Amino acid sequence: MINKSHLLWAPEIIKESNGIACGDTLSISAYRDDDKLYFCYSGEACKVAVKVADYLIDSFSGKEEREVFKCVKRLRFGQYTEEEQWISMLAVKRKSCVDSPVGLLYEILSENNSCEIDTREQSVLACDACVNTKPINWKPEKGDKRITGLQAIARELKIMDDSIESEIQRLGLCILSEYQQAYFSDRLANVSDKDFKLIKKLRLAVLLFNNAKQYNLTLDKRIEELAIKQIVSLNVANEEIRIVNAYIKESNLRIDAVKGGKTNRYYPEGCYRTHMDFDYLAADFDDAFKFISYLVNERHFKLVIGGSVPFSLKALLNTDKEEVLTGHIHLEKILQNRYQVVVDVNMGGFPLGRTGIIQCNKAEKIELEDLICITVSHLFKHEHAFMKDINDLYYLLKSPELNQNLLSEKLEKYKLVNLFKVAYFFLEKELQLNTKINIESTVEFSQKRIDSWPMSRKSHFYIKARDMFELNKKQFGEYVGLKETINQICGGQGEISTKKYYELNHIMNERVYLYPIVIFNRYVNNLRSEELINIDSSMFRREHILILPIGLFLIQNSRYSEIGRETLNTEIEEIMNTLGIDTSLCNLNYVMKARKDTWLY
Amino acid sequence: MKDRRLDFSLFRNNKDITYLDYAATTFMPDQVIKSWVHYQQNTGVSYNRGNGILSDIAENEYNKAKKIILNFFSAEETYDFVFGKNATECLNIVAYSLRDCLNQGDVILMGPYEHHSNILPWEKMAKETGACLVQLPLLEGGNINYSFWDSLDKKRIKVISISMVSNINSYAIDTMWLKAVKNDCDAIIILDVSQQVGHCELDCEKIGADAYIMSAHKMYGPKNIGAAIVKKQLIEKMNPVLVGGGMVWNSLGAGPTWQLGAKKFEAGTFDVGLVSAWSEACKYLNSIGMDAVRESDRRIWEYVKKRMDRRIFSIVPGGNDNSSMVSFMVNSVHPHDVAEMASLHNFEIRTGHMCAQSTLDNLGYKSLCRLSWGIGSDISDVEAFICLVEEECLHDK
Repeated sequence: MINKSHLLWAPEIIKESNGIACGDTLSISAYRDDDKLYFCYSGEACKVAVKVADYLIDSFSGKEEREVFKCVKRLRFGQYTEEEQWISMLAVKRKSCVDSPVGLLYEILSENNSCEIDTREQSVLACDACVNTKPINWKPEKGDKRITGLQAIARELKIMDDSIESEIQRLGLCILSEYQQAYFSDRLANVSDKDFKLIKKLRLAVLLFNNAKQYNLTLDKRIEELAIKQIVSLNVANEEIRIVNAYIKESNLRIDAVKGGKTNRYYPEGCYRTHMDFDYLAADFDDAFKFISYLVNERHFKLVIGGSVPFSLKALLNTDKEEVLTGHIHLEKILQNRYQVVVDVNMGGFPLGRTGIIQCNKAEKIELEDLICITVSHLFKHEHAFMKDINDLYYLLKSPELNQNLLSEKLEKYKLVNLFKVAYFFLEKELQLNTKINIESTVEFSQKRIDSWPMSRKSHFYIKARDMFELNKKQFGEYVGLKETINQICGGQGEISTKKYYELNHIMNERVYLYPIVIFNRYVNNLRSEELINIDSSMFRREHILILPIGLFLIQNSRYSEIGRETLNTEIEEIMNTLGIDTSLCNLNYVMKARKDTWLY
Repeated sequence: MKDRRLDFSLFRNNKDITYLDYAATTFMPDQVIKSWVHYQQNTGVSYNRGNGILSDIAENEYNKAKKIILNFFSAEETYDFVFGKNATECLNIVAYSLRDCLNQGDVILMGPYEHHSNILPWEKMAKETGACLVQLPLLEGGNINYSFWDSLDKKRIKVISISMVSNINSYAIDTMWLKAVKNDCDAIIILDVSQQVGHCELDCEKIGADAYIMSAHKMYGPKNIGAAIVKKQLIEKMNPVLVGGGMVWNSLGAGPTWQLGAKKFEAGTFDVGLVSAWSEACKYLNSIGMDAVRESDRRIWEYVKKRMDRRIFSIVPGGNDNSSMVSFMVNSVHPHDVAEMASLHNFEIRTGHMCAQSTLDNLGYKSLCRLSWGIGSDISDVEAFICLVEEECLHDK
């Protein structure tokens, strides 16, 4: 093992080498600051590799990058100075062990990585949890390209709808009319590259595969291939999830699966419902942290750089107008070197639009009726509706286990009545669903919008926006509610101040992104110090850093000024000293670069 | 079995070396070397070429040797040989030759204990054809999770390619499961038997797989020859991979026509002496008796299991009762450093990922040490190694 005294916090670049035959796994973590390169190594390696790695750190870390590059080039060609002759002696018998750390450093020096957080969904009112993460940029502002300003939004709305998308989306519904079946055959026997990309993006492959099977229709071979890969990938992921679920049960954690992980069982036999992400809802933050620690330290799930959403928190008002904290973390693991399994842990509740939350009963498991509410909420979470969510809703509502009265109560409680009504209208009209649910909507959406939902993104946006205004109005009153809604739509700075979670973020409904700096190799629940500001039971802050039982995270929100490397390092060291934490508590292998070759969605 | 070292010139010439890397390769006993030398000194030509006296002798020798080897594996009735340089090449040949049997959306199923040579060719085929590669998962403790089979769409599975015995821990595939699978789907079943052939009997007819892949050098035969023992019916469906002299029936006309049967895989001049030497290795193993070899393996394994102090050695779980190897970590010493220490004391052992990175990853390791034994090994060899490590570890403390 590499000497932990050489640790470096919050690296911007991480590279790993796997020896051809030796089986060493050596990682280099690095960052650049003022033309200087700081780096350290970690992993399991032999004595020779460790000795060379230590030498490289001692000699070159913190030096001018140009100078280091010159020296490393020389070492790569086996040209050693007088003081380095010991390396040449080691290289006689163990050349690959010598080359491994040198090669990694060379790789980093030959590249230059940019660093920022970027939004993944671009349109207005898109999900604010869906952001890509790249190495940190030390700036508080998100470098996003989100559309802002009413004029720009109006322009976007004009071009939002795409007739091709609407036509293809419809073919993913779980019931097709004869006309749709004929169209399916015409449209999907062979698709263009562009349509194939669209189908992948809309998560339609398996839905189309199910329909091709159900109605005996010809389906493009590429879509069939993608569907089979998604099904097989899910089978592989299920094996990992079985172990994870067993842990939740054994540990009595108040965590339950939601969405795909739970809705599959309501599908008829032979009809596939695939998903890559396994969503969990943890009513309690402490349970969530225990679970995350287990996933990272025992099941080797990783936080991802360059791929999907990072870790974030958000304070908002629940339906009882209490200020609550919600969180979301995205962890990934690669199975069999080719399949990706994703675990998304939603903490405190499941998001309902930008400003709402579904809080399930902490003491109970999630019921079918909760699942329906979560599905409705998810249906309106993203920039367009996914047909898989509509099919989910259809099968959940058709379940004989459904308690209609309980569902009505929950829809009322979670303020989901209006959105449910829109979805139900569609299911009734298109899929002839006749489950009767007694609810009264509080908003009258225009019939034009209801008729064109869910295929029209424009209607989807209007309905979301209108419903959000309704919700905000109830929470904050008419004037503030309207302002908050406009802020959310226009991407402006929120104006409602937090109270309970003020020390985390001053602004209500604003997401705080958390960048991992130190991940503990176990759950640590006794981190207490007078120097720390208590945010919640096991959540503390000191300057820019959030201290959780799973590790230390850099807070990135609109409040904090830019933080430099030196300040960050000082803050980390001070926290470690204050809490009496040493490097033996650190998991050095918590982050991975996104494996895009495993993306099937 | 220690007295058997006298059968090997390599051991006679290297008395100081303790060889514990049989899973990587075995040495040829004198009679195998002699057989090859005899062929080169007296016959020297390839078969299936001329009509001269030497060619006739070569053809007879080839057929005789082939019969002996097929007989050794109880494969005379329904199987034939597709020869290659080694198991890796044979797996590549089989994978490429079955390319036309694979389509978009088909599934290739593998085990969790595969050597790179049984993963990479199929991975390439999957990429080229749009098929989907999936491995049976591992359970805690090293067993295979056979119930995963139930989650798969059987109609989609076109190829099952699995190691009969793992090169990491000697895990042996459940042959009853294989039989059940055979009844359950129409997939082509390919078994990589490289780690079995030198250690216990292989009855091809009884197991009934479609192809068995092996290297002669893992069973005291010569290097540079391996084979896929393939069902004759399947050979008809397979397309030749290498084309050229010897494998073509007619090269004129719109398209060439190939030789029938396994001959379509025999492009170019072939060293019959290697087949002859391999058959001699079969005779050598028969003379000792596979039961005796297995019993010797078992005794060493039993000893190792009990002897290795778990405070020093962490053994990879999952080995079978007659394991011919043990993989382990020496606590707090990297396998490379163990190998260097062993090498200084004339032990030949294997360290690293054993060309099975995916297996190690599944088991939660990055690198391992492996001792493997065979004919000529004895308990005293492993005991000497264990003592050395214990001494070094204590010394370090």
